[in-house]
Amino acid sequence: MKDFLRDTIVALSTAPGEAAIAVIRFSGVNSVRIAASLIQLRSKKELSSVSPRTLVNCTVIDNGLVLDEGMVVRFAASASYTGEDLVELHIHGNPIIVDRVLELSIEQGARVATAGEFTRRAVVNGKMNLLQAEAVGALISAESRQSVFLAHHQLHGELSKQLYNFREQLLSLLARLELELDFVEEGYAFASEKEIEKVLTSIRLYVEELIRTFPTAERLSRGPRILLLGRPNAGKSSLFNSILGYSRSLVSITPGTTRDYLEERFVHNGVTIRLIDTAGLRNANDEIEREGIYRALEMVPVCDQILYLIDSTQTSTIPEEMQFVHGLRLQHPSISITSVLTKSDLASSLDDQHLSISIKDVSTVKNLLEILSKGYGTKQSTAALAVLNIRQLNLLKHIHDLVSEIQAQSAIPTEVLSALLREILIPISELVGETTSEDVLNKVFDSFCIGK
Amino acid sequence: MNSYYDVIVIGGGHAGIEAASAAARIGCSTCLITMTISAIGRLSCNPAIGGMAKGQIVREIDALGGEMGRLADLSGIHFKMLGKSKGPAMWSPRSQNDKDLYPHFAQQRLQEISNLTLIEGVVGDVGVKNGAVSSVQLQDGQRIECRSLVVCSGTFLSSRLHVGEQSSVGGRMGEPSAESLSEILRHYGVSTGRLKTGTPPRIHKDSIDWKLCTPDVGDAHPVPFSRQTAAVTNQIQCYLTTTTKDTHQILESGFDRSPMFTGRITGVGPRYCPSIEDKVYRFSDKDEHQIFLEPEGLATDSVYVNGFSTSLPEEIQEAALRTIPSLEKAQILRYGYAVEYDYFPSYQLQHSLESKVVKGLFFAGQVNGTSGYEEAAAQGLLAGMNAARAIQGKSSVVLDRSQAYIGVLIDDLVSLTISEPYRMFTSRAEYRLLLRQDNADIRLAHIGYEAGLVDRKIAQEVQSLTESIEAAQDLLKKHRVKEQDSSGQAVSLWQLLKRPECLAQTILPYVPTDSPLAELLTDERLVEQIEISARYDGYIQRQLQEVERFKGIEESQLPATINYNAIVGLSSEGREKLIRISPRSLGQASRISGVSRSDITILSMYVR
Ligand SMILES: Cc1cc2nc3c(=O)[nH]c(=O)nc-3n(C[C@H](O)[C@H](O)[C@H](O)COP(=O)(O)OP(=O)(O)OC[C@H]3O[C@@H](n4cnc5c(N)ncnc54)[C@H](O)[C@@H]3O)c2cc1C
Ligand SMILES: Nc1nc2c(ncn2[C@@H]2O[C@H](COP(=O)(O)OP(=O)(O)O)[C@@H](O)[C@H]2O)c(=O)[nH]1
Ligand SMILES: [Mg+2]
Repeated sequence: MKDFLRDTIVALSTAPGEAAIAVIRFSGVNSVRIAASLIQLRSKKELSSVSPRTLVNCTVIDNGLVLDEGMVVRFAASASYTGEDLVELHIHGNPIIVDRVLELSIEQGARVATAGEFTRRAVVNGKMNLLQAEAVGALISAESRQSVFLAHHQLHGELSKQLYNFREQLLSLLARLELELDFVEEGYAFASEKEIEKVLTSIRLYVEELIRTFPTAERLSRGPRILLLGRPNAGKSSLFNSILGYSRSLVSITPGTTRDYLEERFVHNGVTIRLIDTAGLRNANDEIEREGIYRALEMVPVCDQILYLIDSTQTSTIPEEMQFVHGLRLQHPSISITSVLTKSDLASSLDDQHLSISIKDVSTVKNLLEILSKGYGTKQSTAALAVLNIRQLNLLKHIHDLVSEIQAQSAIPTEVLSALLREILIPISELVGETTSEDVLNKVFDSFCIGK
Repeated sequence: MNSYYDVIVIGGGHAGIEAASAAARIGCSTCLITMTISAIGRLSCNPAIGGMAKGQIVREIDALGGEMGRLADLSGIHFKMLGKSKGPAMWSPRSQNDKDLYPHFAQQRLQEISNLTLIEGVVGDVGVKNGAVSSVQLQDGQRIECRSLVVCSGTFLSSRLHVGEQSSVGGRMGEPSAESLSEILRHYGVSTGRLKTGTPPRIHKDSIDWKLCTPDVGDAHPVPFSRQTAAVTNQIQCYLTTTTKDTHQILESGFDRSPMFTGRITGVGPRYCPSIEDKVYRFSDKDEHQIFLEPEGLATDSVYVNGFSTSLPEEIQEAALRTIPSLEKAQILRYGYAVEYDYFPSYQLQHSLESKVVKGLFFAGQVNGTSGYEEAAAQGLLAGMNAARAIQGKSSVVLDRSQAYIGVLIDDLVSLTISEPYRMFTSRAEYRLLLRQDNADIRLAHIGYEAGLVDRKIAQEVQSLTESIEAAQDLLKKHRVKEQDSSGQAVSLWQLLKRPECLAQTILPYVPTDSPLAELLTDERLVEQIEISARYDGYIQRQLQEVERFKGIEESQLPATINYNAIVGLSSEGREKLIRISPRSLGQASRISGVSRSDITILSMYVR
């Protein structure tokens, strides 16, 4: 592991597969040398003499033959993503060419980067803190416009800023508590109970809000899951296909053709929605189908919304079905469950009370989609910030527990209070950076008079 | 006179006393060379030992088998436990001492140690052979060989005294300066810096109008520092008064003639015990500052004006003092002055207090940039111990930050780049709830015993106390009683004890007389320990968990051979500090200011 930071790493930075272009990235002390050995610049200059951040034409050479034509740009360590010398080679997006370039790079001494290694190096080299690195990850995998915004906020250090701010406030309190303790004979009281309470409450409220919005933020970042339920033949698969716009699952009039479940993603109004088609609900005899039904019910707790489809042509069963929906709602109060009457084109009369659709009438499906997407991402959420992952969530919960513990007690001795406040700094530091007790001291003496 | 000793100690200050005593008692032939034998143990500044954080250090010195606790008890004339308004972790013993008796007992004590020789003289040269210390030479030409040398020369290296616009050469009023020692050591590659510290005027006790001050009485039941002292008594009272607006005005009129303001003193002074002119200048919104009037002894007329450290011209000191209620007719016996001296930035030391550049060369006390008798003594004790152990081929004794204030002190010294004299504060200790004055012996006596400085009898007593405490805690946790209230629930005696205001006395009626617990609870020390543990229970557990948590990083060694220049990605400031300080663990590296978190991440990858 000793040479961990000394290797030069290489990787394809664009998505694999056929594409117009592919970008191959090199980072490390030898990145310019290795990249230069693969290419010839059209200008005949050396890559090392091209000024940084300038894109220039080049040909990729494989054993004297031209493998590809492309462009290349280098970044100096002082101003690169990773904090190391970095080169990007832009070539045609053909897996054969890409693989060959990687092969040649390895021959020249590069190592294929591990997952996230470029960003990890950026953290190690102090180009960004851990929260920001996590934001980069979140940004790349964001499944909604809003979670893109949230990730950007964190990338720009919004959460870090707030945490640094809390840390400042805690350090300032600690500094004053310490002063009180170290000069106890002088009888100073520099931090009032009220002030301590104020700081703790502001931290608690802030953290509480982040913890509270986590499920929403999490759903946003992975996109909501909508589950289609209903009896066989209710029209689930038909709706599924109609929404996705192409035939994905089998549609048939024999009840029970959708034997397992199918999940597809589609983007609507900037939100990635996962739509899940399931087998119909009834007492199936077929082994495989029973399994499918079982699976469908298993999906219920992990989805965000259920569309329960009811065949409007089966008028006699409608009350019974409504009853079933009611039961589901009681069982899963946190999931929004909507009943939808299908095949409205065939129904003789339909009351306006219920949402009804027909796959024969595109406008009814569109209308349903509008209603669905209202809950997700169409309007900006009030929270400008969000927790991006479980690590952050757990540390924030830890902060919350510590603050609540202090606030729940009365008359804590000063020396214990100080130890507890210091404890809050640990998860904050883990989220963003470090603290030592010299920090506290520096604070103390920067601003106060001390008798001997 | 011999021409060889295993260990030579330069300087008979508080560091030198401990270093010489420890090295000799461990079994090395030892010699203490000091300018004036009758000045050994002199209290240069305030005749007081202990106080916040420092009192804990004195207890630790005593637990490890050092001298300071007993000397303070013998010469103490006023004892007070400070911090009583807070919890037990903040309690700090302090004594007011007779300024003549302290040195008297110190000299008497050193003279009775068999392996130890006292020599009067000034060390002017140090001999080094093959990178290791080999000898010292006195100014009279005499050369003495040695294998370990402990430099405890305090404020005496190339030192200058300042009173107003006058400066003179000297290490303490009326005592000379050692002019060549720091130059010699620089020659061997040890770098030096300049620091300064000041002391207030002393006044005649009969010139004070005592009626106008508030008395500051000692404790009703004074407790000694040392577990070997049976009892101590209060023999005097101290008094309190405050400065006035007039005082501040007069002081301000002299700012342009103060050596600190005019830049004549280039050394940096402590923020922690600032001079009175500093306080007036920096905190101009305060109308008064506290002044303690502390008699310097039983047989002296001299009174120490605590809180009035100054180096202003004499006539201004006098005029300003006389605006203070009760001091209107004050007669000054000695004016306040400041001393400026060479010190050796302590990042040049290993945790054993041995120099990184010259083998066998140890440094302790104010020369390392600290301020305070207790800080000096603590270093002296460890340096003396380790100087002797090095000769005996034993590994050095290093205390860690969770074990003792002394551990915090030395770890800070070797890790921090100080810009002013370092003094101890309780806030410097992360594990303050564990490092208390009441449990110093429980924490450290075994270490003192293993080092050969603590008697077997004491070590055994402490050991059996420790075991009894554990046994008593177990029994308290097991023994359940019915609640007195309506609930009638069963709770353990331990849970009862944890309640605020609940003392061991309160639970005694519940303890069956035939239980071993009843017997255990007759021991006062044990009762004290379990009451405190109960009070801090939970918090102590958490601190212990934290100690565990940081063990990994504390124990992650950084080899001395590590080439920081070859590590890609370190910040330039971090790299420079790491090269200079050469931390021994990742934990220490993380405490160096200027070493960033990302530097630590990079380092942790290197040592993995
Ligand atoms: C003016 C003044 C003001 C102070 N103010 C404060 C204060 O406000 N607060 C506080 O906490 N502390 C203060 N102190 C500091 C306190 O006195 C010291 O921290 C403590 O005494 C240091 O102990 P030491 O053993 O390191 O050195 P010292 O007590 O200074 O002893 C050094 C000894 O070494 C001897 N020596 C030095 N060089 C040689 C040599 N070359 N050869 C032989 N012998 C040598 C000297 O004669 C002396 O005996 C002050 C000290 C002075 C002088
Ligand atoms: N006329 C009409 N027929 C529909 C509609 N939706 C579904 N069907 C038919 O109903 C039958 C069952 O549909 P399917 O989607 O397989 O139901 P599933 O078992 O719930 O998945 C198929 O023959 C579909 O063509 C609709 O809106 N209008
Ligand atoms: Mg189907």
